[in-house]
Amino acid sequence: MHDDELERLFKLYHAPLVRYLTRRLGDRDWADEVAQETFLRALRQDALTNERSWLFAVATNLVRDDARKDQRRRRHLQLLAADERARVAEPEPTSMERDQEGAMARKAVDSLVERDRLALLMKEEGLNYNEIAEALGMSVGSMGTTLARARRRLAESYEALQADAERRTGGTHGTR
Amino acid sequence: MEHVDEGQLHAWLDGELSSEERGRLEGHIAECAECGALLAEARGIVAASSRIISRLDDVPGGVIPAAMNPGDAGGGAARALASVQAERMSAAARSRQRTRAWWRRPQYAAAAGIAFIAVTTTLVLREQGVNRVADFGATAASDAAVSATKETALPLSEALPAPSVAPGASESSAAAPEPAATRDEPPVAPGQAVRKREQLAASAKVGEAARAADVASQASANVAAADAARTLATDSVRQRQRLSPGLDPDRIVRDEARRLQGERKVATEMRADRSGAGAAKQPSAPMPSAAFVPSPAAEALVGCYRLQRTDAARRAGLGERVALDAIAVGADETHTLYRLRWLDPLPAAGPVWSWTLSSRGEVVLLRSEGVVTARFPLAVSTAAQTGETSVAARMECPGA
Repeated sequence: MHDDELERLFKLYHAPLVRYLTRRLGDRDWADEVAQETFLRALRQDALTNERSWLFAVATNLVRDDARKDQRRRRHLQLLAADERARVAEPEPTSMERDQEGAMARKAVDSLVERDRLALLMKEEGLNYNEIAEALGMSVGSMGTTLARARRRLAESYEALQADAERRTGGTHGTR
Repeated sequence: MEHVDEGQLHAWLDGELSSEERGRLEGHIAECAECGALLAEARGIVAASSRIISRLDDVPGGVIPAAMNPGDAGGGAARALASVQAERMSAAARSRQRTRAWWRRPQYAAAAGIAFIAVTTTLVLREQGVNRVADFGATAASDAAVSATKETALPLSEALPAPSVAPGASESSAAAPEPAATRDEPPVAPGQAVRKREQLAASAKVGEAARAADVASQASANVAAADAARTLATDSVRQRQRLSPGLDPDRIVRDEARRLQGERKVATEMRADRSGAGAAKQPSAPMPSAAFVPSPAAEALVGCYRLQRTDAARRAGLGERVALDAIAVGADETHTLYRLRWLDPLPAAGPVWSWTLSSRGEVVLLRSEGVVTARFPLAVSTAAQTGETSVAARMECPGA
């Protein structure tokens, strides 16, 4: 692959790929590393057909294979612990709420089965059904159902967490 | 046709159905209350899901992907690219260098070049095209909305501040102080760099055009929101993580259910029109102006919205409820500016607000104050493809 071609790929896909990975991993540094490795692998390809699918598929597999997963998981656990501490601490409005919402979103997303989660995160980055199906080795025909299920579960899970948080805080976290 | 399943609805909302499938589904939904309710729920779920996912961007260290921030979009990608290219030269170093994302160090990030960003962004935007206007899932509503916008009266109080920018104001110094709201918001400021040229063009026209618009508005008081159900994802990417804590998927679902009623009404009326029964109504549909015809994309967006503002947007003076009209109040170099009315009193009178469609098809709210124009993009998509996060729900216009 020529540098021109790599540059074009970067301009088009680096941002969504890093965002996808960040959301997937909950860790920006890790996401950057995986994205970088993904583009390095793209460099070794002569040409890519369905480049967006390819990049997302490779990134997804790299995450799966990453030997440092356990180490990162520990960091995730630390975050959860911080969230727990924040919950019992004095309410300190917005930033805490935001943290809490982030933690709830993370839990809700983590509660999805892997394939649903990945499909949903890819969809959020603008991949169409064909591209997602290709990246994840799924059938295009099932994509609507997969995304419907994923979105519903995500919303329900988040809602349950939110209701739980409201109970704990006496209803300070609610709708406007 | 049998009842539609949830997967079909989501495929429809995602714009993944063929025109034939779409026609079948839309026809059925117009007649089937049960599936209509399911659609409303699906819309709410799609919107809620996008917002929930956007909260994952609050990652440790508060860093979000550089390219999500228009202010340093090119920088992040450029540095990362340089990094990959460097590693290509030095394969031996590869495994070591991956351990830290060095291109995000402040000194590198700060070096992001604006021109490069613009090129990058434009490339992406061009690629995605204006079709994103129809990307908010209510494909059926695009036609419906045009029809619907002409149906509902909108006896709203005029909340638009009188244009305070006289044509001569464009002569004043470009060094005029930036509004505090913009200056005080690091997350917003880089993406809302003052576009002097744009402002000069816009501010010179706002006064005249607004007066013309007042006349036009007499004929177009009806041009307002229908209930074609849609959800806007709003605000800039960078503000994604600054959401107010108001998200409630359940509330979104309830809102959708209300909107659905309007949508069904519109669909029914469209069918009546096609069969000729409603043909006589067409001439009564007022246009904003005899001379000016808004683009279908803009017209489809006309209506009232309740904004889930980011903190930054709120500080910058965005109200909670807004009406977008299809009445031209001016133009910048490439885009028509339309009238915007806040439905609640704003804390700060003075700035002149308008809205426009970006070349990407996104709604952008513009706040003009002196020679300074701040932009508040509202991306018209529930999917966070552009990184937008705040969700603006279409609402019934007060009094409609």
